[in-house]
Amino acid sequence: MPEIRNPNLQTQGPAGGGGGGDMRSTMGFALLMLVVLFGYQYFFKPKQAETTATTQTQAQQAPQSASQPTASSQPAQPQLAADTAPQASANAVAVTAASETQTTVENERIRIVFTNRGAQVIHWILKDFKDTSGQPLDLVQPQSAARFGFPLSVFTYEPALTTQLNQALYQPSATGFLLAPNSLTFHYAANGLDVLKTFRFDTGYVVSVEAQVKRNGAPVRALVAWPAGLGDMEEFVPGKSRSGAVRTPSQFAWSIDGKQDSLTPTASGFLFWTNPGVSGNATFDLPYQYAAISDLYFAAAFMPEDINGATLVTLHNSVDLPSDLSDPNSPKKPADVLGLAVGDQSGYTRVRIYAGPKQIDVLNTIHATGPGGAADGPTLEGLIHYGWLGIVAKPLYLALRFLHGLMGAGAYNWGWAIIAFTAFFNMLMLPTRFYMMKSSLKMMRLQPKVDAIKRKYANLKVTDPKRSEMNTEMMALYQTEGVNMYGSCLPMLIQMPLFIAYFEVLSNVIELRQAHWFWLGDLSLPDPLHILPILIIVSMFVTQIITPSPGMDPTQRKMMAFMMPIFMGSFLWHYASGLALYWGTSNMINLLIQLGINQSSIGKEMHEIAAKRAIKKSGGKPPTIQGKR
Amino acid sequence: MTRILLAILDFYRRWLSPALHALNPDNRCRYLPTCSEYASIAIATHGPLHGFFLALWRLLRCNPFARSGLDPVPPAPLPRPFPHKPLP
Repeated sequence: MPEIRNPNLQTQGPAGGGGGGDMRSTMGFALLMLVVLFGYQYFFKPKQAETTATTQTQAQQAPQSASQPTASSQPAQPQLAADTAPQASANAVAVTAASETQTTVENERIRIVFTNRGAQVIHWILKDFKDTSGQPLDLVQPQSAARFGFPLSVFTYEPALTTQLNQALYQPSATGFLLAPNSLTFHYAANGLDVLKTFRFDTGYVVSVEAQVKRNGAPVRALVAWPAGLGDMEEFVPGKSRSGAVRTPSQFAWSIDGKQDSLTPTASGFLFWTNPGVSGNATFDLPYQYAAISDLYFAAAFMPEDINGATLVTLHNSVDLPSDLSDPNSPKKPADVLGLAVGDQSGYTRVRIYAGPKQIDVLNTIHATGPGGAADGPTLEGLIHYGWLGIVAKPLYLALRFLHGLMGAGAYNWGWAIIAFTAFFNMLMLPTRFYMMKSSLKMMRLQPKVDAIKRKYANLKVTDPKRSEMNTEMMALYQTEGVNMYGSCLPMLIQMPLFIAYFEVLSNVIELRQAHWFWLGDLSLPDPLHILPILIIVSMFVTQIITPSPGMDPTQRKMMAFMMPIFMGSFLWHYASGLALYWGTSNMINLLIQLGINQSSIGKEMHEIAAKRAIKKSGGKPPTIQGKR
Repeated sequence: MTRILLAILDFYRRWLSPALHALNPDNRCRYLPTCSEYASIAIATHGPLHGFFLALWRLLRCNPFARSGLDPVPPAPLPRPFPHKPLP
């Protein structure tokens, strides 16, 4: 392995090597510590939190009274053949339907299909979105819902009662097809039980739910549930798996008193104890402004109408899924299914439910209920997570949105927005680059004198205070020769967070889901034809070759010229193509700038100096790359 | 702790710095000593915590709007005088 020398390191000289022996052991120790830390997290992932069944006792238990006619046993609008048994006796009148029917409610954005078995939802379709197989997206995941329950079913603290209420045939106020705005009522009564569920629909995504369960006249604590997660859980969809993309599991997110927070189903995070996970079957009587299950792009959020009476139960189940989704026969691993049940402590639940995309425009218009009872509480915008570098990711996303808006409608404009933003950024750096080049040329001419100074101090370690005199001498030299130091850490310090910010935006923001740009079907998925990674490798390699850098050792330069493009290219092979688009644009711009520089007089002189130096270093024989000119 | 940080900085200077500087080869450090050298010296003379913050402030100052040129690490504080019995 050739001795790799860094021009900045040359100021240390042999002392760097001498001190390096000391450093090397410490470095090895530090590396070992890092390996242990990450290995622990990788191999010993914390087990799933055990489901603690903290069932609460009934809030009220009405005394059994024989003679208590339930006044609401008569159906309000008898439309279907109801098995009403009008009896003058004290027993309650049973209300149920004869057969299972479906009612479909539709508006511009959603189509909801109710079944009167349990008065729950079997399909909740978002008309503007498609799932990965091209069908309109259904928020109800059929397999897990069949096992754990359908949305808008009822949850009570007695499993037998819950099953009865969710299997009974309710009497609907209408069947068939309904256009929103509208309302739909389901009623069921039998043996002292009386359940009334009312749903109100409007022109948006929000559905208003009122539910009341009474047993012999006294209210039973019953909650409106969404037990089985969201249909967009990419874990469930076989076929095109998002290799390389991190699959975020569903989260339980909420807002109390304006403060938002969230939990993942299992304990996670770098500090395990700060994110303990959702145990399931735990009741929380807290004034929730909203409580939601949200996954990457969609969320189902409950907004209670009466915040102070709100109560909530978390539901956590797991389903065994094949670990490789494109191969149904691969070994199965458990996947988390998160659910929520929200209600009111008095037994009369009124809650608004938003089930839809986590789009910033939409969520900004939906307010939770404020203290006065009107919808003026915090918006649902807190549901959108921008990843761990959200501070940089959110402004980047807003900037991209601005550019996207400028270019008018059309889905492929997100790609152009990324390109425009990158180009703008690079152009901003251009004047500084020009000055840096001129100063760098002057310094290259001075290099022999600088080397002489460095040799004088070569036997001192970096941390020796006497070395500061070397810096003073060099500074004096620069001042006499009129060299201004124009460099800055800024481009580097910005490029790295920007890269991460792009990554976060592309993974977390729903507007970029399935956004295409020419051959790229989905900017948040890897490039299917791999054109962009290859372009990046080629452009980086060519840029490296034509850039003059006299300070570098030629073997080191060769290594850099091969390793860096391959490293970046292979990294971007597996990750979002939007990221590759950003990096590729940046590279192409750099390439063009470098070609321009090479044509200018400054560039030509730089190349001369570089070539002369390289020949001197290798003892008269021009090495391959630098000898090109 | 000091040695670990110094080892990390050494690793940066030998391996990461050439890679990062290859992208824009004219981008030298604005100051003398370079930011990574400054960080090493600061941590060595002032201890890990104080040195780390000195280095961080240096990184923030290394932008086109700041003065360039010589920027040595401020000298270490003198040790407090050791109380001793008065000399005869």
